[in-house]
Amino acid sequence: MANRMNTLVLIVSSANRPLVRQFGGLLGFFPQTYTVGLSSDGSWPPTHWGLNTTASDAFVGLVQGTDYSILPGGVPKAQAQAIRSLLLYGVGTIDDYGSVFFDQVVKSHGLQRAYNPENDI
Amino acid sequence: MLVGLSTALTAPRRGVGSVSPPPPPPPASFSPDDLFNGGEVGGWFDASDFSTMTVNRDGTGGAPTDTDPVGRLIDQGPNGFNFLGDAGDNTKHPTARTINGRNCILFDGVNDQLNSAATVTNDDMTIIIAATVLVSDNQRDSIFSHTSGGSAAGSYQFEADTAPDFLGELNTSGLPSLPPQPSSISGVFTLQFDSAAQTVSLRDDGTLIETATGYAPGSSSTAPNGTFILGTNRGQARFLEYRMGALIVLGGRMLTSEEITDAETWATARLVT
Repeated sequence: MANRMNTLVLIVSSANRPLVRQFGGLLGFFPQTYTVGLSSDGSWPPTHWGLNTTASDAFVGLVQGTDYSILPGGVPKAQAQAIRSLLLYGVGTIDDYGSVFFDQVVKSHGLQRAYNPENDI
Repeated sequence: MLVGLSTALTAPRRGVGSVSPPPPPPPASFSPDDLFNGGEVGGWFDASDFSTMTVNRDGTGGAPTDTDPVGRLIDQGPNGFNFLGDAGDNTKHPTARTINGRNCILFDGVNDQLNSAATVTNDDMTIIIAATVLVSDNQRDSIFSHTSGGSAAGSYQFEADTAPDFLGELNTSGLPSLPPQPSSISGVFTLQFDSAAQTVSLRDDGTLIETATGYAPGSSSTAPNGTFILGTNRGQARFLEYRMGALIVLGGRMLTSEEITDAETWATARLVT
């Protein structure tokens, strides 16, 4: 039975991205997550960065602050709570997984995807 | 960039919703492996079989189940031409999905992609892919691209372009262009780069859509080379949301028409709409 039955969109400001990335590493994320550039008007460089992933109920609970059971040993709850305060997020069902839901969540936070013109070829 | 080389339409345009006759049943004995018996480059991939991929890009984590990420897509041919998820961001790895009882790989259209672990270069190249496009931004989001270090030189991409119809477009730099043509949003697409004929052709569900002349092989600035990328454009900025059921990337010779038909039929059986 699959356990990643949620869609999770996470957003962080450019300033806080290094800190959130570092914490994500404790939870199994690779070190360079949050790679979708975002800004209020779609201009580059981004003011925020997003990611789109499938997630377990426990991971969603961690983001929502209702379940800290997946925190690795030695990681204080207070640290997770501090990181939570830096994140904007949206949660959907697994069937929401895709670009439409991602863009809806991003828009709900007053942002849109931004494209680096050097790579938009 | 679209260059001004001649393009000849070789088949009537087909609109979305047109009905193609059902393909003949595949030869019971056919496997894409049969195409790789003479030292051809590239590989082939069966996304309907989750045992041909692993959750993690390093080959660990076992085969995915529905909703798991796909970190490694394993070449089923002799060349070990695997595709790997991003090394720095595992949220960019696509997802294994089972839709109506059929398996496929879902690219989320946000930032999912898979890159070939090795480069592939040959003047004669055939790419066959079973894909269902779910969402396109009608910009440069691409089913696949073939790039040289992310630069435009010697690269091309197969875009899902432009509203209101899905239109297959080979957006190129230094290669002959295939202008957008009405096509299906779900089907088996075949691109053939033919050095002898100096053409690039596009087939959709077994029908030749168009052939562009002016393909100049033997030049690093025009021949397809470099990394093969699934899910995004050559600049890796525009991502396409689609389901992939099967893929064949073969270089080194031109396939016969019978081989093309067999391979397309095999891929059609793995199309997830």
